[in-house]
Amino acid sequence: MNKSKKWSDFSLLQINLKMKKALKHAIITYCGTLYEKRGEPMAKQNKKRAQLPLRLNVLFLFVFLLFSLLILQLGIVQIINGEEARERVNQTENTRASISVPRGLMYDRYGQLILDNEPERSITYTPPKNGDSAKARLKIAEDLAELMVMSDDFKELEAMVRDRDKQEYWYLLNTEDANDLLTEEDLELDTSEQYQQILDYIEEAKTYDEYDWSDPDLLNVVAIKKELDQAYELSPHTIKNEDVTEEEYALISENLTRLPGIDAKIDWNRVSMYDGTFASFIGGITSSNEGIPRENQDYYLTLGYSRNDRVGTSGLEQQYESLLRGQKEIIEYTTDNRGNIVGTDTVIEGKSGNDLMLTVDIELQQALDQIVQKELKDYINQNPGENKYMEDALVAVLDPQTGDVLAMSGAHYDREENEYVDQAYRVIYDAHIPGSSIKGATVLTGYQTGVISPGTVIYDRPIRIAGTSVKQSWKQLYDVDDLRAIEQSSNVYMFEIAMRISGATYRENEPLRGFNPEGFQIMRNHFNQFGLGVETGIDLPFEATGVTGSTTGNGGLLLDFAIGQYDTYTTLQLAQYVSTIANDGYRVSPRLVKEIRQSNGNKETLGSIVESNSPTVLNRIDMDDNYIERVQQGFRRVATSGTGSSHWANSEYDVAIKTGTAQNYFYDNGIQQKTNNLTLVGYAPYDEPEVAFAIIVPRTGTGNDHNGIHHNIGNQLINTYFELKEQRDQEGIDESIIDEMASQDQE
Amino acid sequence: MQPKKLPIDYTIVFLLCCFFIFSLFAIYSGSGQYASGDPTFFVKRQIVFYVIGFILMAVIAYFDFELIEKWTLALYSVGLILLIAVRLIGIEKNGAIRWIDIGFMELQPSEVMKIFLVLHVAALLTQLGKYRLSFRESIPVTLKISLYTLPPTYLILKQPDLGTTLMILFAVFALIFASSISIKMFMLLFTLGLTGLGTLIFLYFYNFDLFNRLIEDHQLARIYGWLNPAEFSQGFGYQLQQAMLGIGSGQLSGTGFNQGYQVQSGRIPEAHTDFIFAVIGEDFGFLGTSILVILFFVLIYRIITIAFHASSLFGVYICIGVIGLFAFQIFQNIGMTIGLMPITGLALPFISYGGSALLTNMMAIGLVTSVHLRTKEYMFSSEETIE
Repeated sequence: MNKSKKWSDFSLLQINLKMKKALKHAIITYCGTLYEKRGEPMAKQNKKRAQLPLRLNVLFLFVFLLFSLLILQLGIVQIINGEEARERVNQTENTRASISVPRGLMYDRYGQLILDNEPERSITYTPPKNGDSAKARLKIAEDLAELMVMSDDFKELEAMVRDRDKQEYWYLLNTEDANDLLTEEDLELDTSEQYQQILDYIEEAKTYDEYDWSDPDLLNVVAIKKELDQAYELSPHTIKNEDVTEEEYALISENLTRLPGIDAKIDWNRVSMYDGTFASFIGGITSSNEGIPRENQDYYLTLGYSRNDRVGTSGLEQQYESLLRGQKEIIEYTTDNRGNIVGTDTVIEGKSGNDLMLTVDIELQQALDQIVQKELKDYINQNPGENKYMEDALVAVLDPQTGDVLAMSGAHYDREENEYVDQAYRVIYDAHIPGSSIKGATVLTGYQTGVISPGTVIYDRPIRIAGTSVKQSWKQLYDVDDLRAIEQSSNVYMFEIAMRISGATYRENEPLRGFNPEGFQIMRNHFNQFGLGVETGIDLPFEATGVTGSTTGNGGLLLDFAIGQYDTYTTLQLAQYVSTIANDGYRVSPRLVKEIRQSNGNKETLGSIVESNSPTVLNRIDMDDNYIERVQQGFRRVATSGTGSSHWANSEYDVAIKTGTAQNYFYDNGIQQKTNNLTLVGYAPYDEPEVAFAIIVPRTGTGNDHNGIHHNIGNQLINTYFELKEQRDQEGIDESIIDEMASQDQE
Repeated sequence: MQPKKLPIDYTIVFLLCCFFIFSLFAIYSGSGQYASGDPTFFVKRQIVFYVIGFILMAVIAYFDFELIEKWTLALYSVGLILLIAVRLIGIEKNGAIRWIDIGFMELQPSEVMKIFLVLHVAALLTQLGKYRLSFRESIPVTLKISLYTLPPTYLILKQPDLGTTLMILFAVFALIFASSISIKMFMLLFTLGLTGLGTLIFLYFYNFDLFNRLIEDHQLARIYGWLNPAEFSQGFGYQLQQAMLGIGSGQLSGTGFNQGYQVQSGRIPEAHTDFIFAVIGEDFGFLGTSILVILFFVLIYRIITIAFHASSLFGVYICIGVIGLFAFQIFQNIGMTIGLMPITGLALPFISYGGSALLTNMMAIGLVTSVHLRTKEYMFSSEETIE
């Protein structure tokens, strides 16, 4: 530092010297002119003459200043900043490499591992900065082809290589011949256009067919080269990760030094431990070659992802991406300017992704999946003609107090493939007309708006409004109070509530009078408090909210709404609705993740808790407790003496339910088809609800309602739930894992 | 009118020898990355150019420059025709058309033209005599000079070669400034130039479309690269950044001949031609660069001295024109490698590899020497001497 300062002083000294010299010169010149001025008689002319030397001097001074500026700047560049420049030149380039860490695992509510990572051998290629040339890539591909095959199957290999790849290969080996194909006009094009043009010519000329494309070794080279071509600079691209044999892995590992950019490493693969159970909600992640989704590329890049990172794109994998991904280990390699690595430094310690502990009970889930699928199958096969439109059976099971999703099951009959598949996502995606199941909401809306009160009696008889078909209950029930209206599922009682709310007066065979369409909004507002028609708040990236029918002056439609024949709801919405009733009016959002736990690299025990999700109460139904109790009683009576008693009266468990049979009319090939949506909502035990459920079986045949698939599913569900509970109580659960977790937490 | 001594000026010859040595070392060091077979390929050719250059210089020095005075218009016309020929049958290199192939070498007419134009303008100014003109009297001659200056500068600008264009304009300005043309006229021209520049800057900020019609993108890119090398580190900014790193890393005494990492690794583009100063900076450090700059300064000082003593007004103007050309070229070339000026394609006189430029510069030195040699004879006719 001192030295450079000294030298810059020296240069200033030099400048000083020169400046003095120039000044001296200027003075001499000036004196000379003065002298001449005195000597010459014609002073005027001399004055004029004096300008040339003066201007020369000014010019010289100007040049002097310019050159001084150069010296000054050189001093700054070389002396003052020289040290830094030399350091930067000699420096040592730092390259960062990130090493991926295992993604977080998922466990069920009792600590059973649901989603695991499985190591997988993979061969990757990381192009250097600014990439390798095409010829260099071909060389790597040729070398690599000696050590591995993209596929043993010739047909598969052949499918990997397109004509364009063959043409590019020919071009690389015959670049000069290929360039001769270009016409004068083509030369005007820019290089990439020229390249495309050449490939087109090669395609026309079919010259690339001079190679033997039935040779698997050649195809292998081109297939590898094609993978290499897709890689981005400095970002590892997977060439092969499925079925990399141990031998290939070993061979490539040994030869890494002569394969620039190639690496053999262990990647992680997601594996479902229960054979795909609950897979719809667990969701998926991209492969490392797909990398981060292009449409959100910038979003992910700013979060520190690299292009080939695997990210969750659906379900919980997407919802909890930030927790599951962990922190990549970042290592900085220092290389000197000749490319030798002179040091490594771990910049950021890697950290595995956090594990998720789900609310789901995987055993219940598995059992339920089987029950639902079996019932659907049996029911369709019982009467295939009658049930020809039947495709789905959907169930959602919640803990009404916490919102924990215990199970969500959706069986689907794929009529084209004639197979039964798990499509559980339909529980939150598909909305259906629910029918009478929602009558609890209608009655509560009636109480709350004051149009009825507990004990209000209404005369159940067919309602005949001019211009519409007759509206009635499944049978004429005569005088019914609110309890009986629920127990026997009186439509007329609900119609009356709707008419009263909307201010309509009914007279037989006359149009409804004084109907106020605001009734729709009033009723929907109340329904929303149960989660009907709004988001339930489940921790998933997407949920459907159902279809809201249009608000019209047609009062008949509001009557339909009141019995669940108008707006549509998802199974999960119905489950939230019945949970809200079971939970004394508190609407809790369903949740799939209970706890977030640190990964401890050990699958037998769980790590300590990072975050514990407490139940989220969305709202409390704004009404007297006795109103809700009244509906709860009604629901209980449905099971003991009402519309569901034939299936539930003998149940071991105290269940409260509400049935629904919605008329689902639709058009198939222009012909109206009549089907029913069978629905069932309920909870148990009646006194201290710990499980609530909703079942929808859409489009069943109309002739076979009462041997109810929904009741069969519901019964088995409740039985299984309590049996599992009992079993766990007896066996003390397999809670060892949780005990250990607890002890770890204390540490 | 034979000179009574050898047709040389010892100071100038000494300087040229220094440049010769600098040039050979720098070209050898800087061209290593281009010469695949023979590492001395460019050096050998430069030696040949220098030999021819010396001869050319001596021949021109031997002739009486005053004879040229009558022929300047003819020379000017030849230059203009060559420039037009470039436009018609020129050879393209790196996106610019500047050369015509004349068999044994590629000629760059703009190089010749700059001398011819300076000569012609000098001749025009000489006709005015020594006495200062009023502003009004200055108008016709200024218009005349503009008339001769604009066609070649336009042609050169369109090649495109902004550097040479500016160099010629600078030399003509220097001549006008030193001549008997009214200082007011000079100030007017100067103000016009500044206004033009100001207008461009204004347009850049307020009417970019119009600006873009006048200044093309690639030219703008150089200015961006100059103003902010780090941000535009892909194009011209990259060249500048690498060159400055190289020069800077030379520090005081340099990395040593052929040892500069930036040059040898090919990070500095055109290291044997336009960016040759970076080679000197990296290999020989601040000592090397400042010695070279001082040598250049001494050359200009020497030419100025010759001008001061010159007995002929035409001779004075030739010297001034040559100073204008050299000073601008040196400042621009060195300036661009150390971030003082935007990057243009001007070579460093006497150092950069290249025949046309070297021969032209030698011609210029020949003219100056000729002026010098014919001064002493009139030593005592103080009437004509200026000092």
